Amino acid sequence: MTEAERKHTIPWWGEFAISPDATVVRQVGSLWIGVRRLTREWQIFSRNDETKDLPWTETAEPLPFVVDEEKVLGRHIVGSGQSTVSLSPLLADRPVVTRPVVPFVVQPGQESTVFVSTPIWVRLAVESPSVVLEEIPCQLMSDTWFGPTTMEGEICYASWTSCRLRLEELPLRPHRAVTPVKIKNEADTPLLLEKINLPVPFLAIYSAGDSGLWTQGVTMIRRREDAAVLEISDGAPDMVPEAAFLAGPRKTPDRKTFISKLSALIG
Amino acid sequence: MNTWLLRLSEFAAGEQVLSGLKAVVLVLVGFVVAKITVRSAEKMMAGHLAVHEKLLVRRAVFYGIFLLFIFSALHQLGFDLGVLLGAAGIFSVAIGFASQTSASNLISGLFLLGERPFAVGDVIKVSEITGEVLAVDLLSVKLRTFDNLYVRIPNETMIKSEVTTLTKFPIRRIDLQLGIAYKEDIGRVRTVLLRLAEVNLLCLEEPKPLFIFKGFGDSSLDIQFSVWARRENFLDLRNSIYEEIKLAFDANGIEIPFPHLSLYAGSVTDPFPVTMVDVQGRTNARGIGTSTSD
Repeated sequence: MTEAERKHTIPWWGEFAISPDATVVRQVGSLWIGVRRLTREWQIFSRNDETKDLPWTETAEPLPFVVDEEKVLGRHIVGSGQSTVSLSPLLADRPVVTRPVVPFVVQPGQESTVFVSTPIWVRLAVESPSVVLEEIPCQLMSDTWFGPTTMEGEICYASWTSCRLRLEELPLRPHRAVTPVKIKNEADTPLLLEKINLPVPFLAIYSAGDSGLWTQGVTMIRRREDAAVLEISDGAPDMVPEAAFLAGPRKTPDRKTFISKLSALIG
Repeated sequence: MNTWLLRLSEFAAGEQVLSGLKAVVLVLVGFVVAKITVRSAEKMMAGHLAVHEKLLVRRAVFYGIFLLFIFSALHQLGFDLGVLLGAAGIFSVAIGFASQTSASNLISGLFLLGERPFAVGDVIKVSEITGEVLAVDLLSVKLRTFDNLYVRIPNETMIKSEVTTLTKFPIRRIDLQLGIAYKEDIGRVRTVLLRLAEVNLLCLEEPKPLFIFKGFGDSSLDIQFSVWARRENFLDLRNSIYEEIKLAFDANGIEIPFPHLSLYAGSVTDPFPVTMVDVQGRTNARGIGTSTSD
């Protein structure tokens, strides 16, 4: 593990006590967050040196963050008795359509597990975590449309993925959560994977210590030409069984299995 | 005095007064029954109908029931309804001729209600007028234009002409018309524009932006670059992408040409005569010019 990676394994989330007129600063990937507690208000500062999630974006070491020189993101009036702020990770608020940098084909009868990562949001809250002050994305994603026509579908986020197939090749990034996606092709024709629609708001976050942040596994099974089934597993993924539950999903699905048209899940 | 009182008491006990009282009671009861029926009808259709449809049904139910009771009240008072109906028939024919347009508007309104191409709150465009729908009434549709003016459009116009509902679908395409100089490399311009669309967060990744080469224009190569955005972000994206295109073109040395004309004197004619004028405005021997000094 390199020095940079070791630094990233120290969890940035948790509850932090702030004395009056003091400031707490945390770094998550290229995002800096500062929380200053004043007598009558709490001020939130943030700066992101690399906002957009693009295939050619390389994570560089961010410039130093000096709170007084940064822009105020928000000013909040909270009770004078508050002295701790909690930072917790959160997944995207919309499904994420993730595209492999190089599309690949799953032949009939074959299955493959790809590791797809999506950017994390940071939730700042007081009163542990019932009063949310801000939710800041670590990386901004483009809007995109996912649906069979321009009339029906939904607005999602667009992301890129290297679609790694081997666990050891996964880089350790504190600002992204990894989802293992198992893709099974039970139809008679090859399945070209150009994009995957991940139901991110239904996934929970797990912390696997040195291995970073993970979500539950998701299985997409192509039954026939145009029919597919999406299943969200329970609990930590098999690759990191020791991972601890960190945060629940934004939305609770009423069921774990979704039957859908293939075009609604994989393109 | 006594006679008068006697006459009053006789009158009071008479049948006419009784009928009169019955008529009044019928009207009052009719009013109350109509109100109650309207309330229960409202409760029943609470979630099913739009605001203006509810208003319509309320009025129809109320006046329908009230009129029924008024007719029976009139019957009580001894009016022959047959004559009334006959007169009403002739009256309605006359009204019908006079109100052709209104009737047409009314019927168009009913068809519009059934078809539902738009609802209150949608933004529509009728011929040159664009605005937000405030009300869909029996005879007309009321719009509020973006410069805050109130426009009333008869339903007949809506049925007869094209109505564009701008807020029907969640995403919208923006067509940008650009011109680049003839000397530019079209492939390079395409790459710059597609990269720009990728970097812009408001621009949707899917549907993919379109690059269309429209043709060899008079002064430039005409290009259409179409990008998609969420309906709510339409204006923001349109403004931001034009700015970004200008910056990107400047940074990459891509010229957006002014309209220009090339003049030819013709191959068999003499070249155009040209006079050289120096800085002080003096001319050489044979040309025309003005001297400022000397």
